[in-house]
Amino acid sequence: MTEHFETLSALIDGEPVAIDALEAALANADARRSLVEFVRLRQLARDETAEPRPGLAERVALLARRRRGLARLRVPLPLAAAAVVLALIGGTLIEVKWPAFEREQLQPPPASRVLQFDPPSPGASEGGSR
Amino acid sequence: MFERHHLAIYRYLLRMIGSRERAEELTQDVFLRAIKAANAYEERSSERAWLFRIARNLRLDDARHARRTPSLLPVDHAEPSAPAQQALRLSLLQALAMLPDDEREAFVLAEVVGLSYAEAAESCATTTAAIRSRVYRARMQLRATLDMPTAGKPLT
Repeated sequence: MTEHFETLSALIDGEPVAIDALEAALANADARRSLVEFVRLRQLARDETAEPRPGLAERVALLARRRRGLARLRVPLPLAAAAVVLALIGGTLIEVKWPAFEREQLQPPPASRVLQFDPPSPGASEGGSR
Repeated sequence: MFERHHLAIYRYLLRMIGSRERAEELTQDVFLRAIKAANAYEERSSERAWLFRIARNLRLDDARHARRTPSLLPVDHAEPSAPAQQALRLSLLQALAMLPDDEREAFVLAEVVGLSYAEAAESCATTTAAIRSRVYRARMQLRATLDMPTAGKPLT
């Protein structure tokens, strides 16, 4: 019996069915009734009037344009890779230059004047007040 | 592409999620992702199946994040049909919400959207035999749940 229903179900969907199976299905009164009910179900199911709100096409077109614009702004991968490599090379060069620069900064400035310092003689301070 | 497929995608998402706002947001995301991934689209697969695969992935991601369950599927505001038909349709939507996720999905893809079993299988990353079986199980479940007007009428 199940086979009869399944055959008729496929038949109304326009799918290929075996002639023998169709003949056997149509010979059965319950299966014939099911065929009518399947067709009624189809009419009910296809009596579909639901529609999206107006403006959906415009919204899709607008969003698609925006996304295309953003995609154009996106940096291409090779360019991004080149920027990273340049940054690394730049960083290495700064590191190489920096110690020399630092050494120069740590040197004392050249003398601008010379102060003479004469230490007092050892006996001068002893017994001076006596 | 948007014009050709947005209604079907929206209706699939609506019937799977149950929220109009979220279905709209996800429909928008489906097409944004499709535009972004246009290069990944392979000609050997159907454009429709490809879009539904994107929609399905987004829906599953959304469900994982929001832990959303379709408690009640919304009924359309502008129902052109008669009150009896309207009541039956409401019952269908409610019964649909009660189905297991994979059966509801197969039914929505085949019946509401009109995808072939092959396209539905491609969208759901499964086989056509699995889709055939899921659609059949969904139909039987819906038939049992709904009070179909033909029930009990002799068909000789």
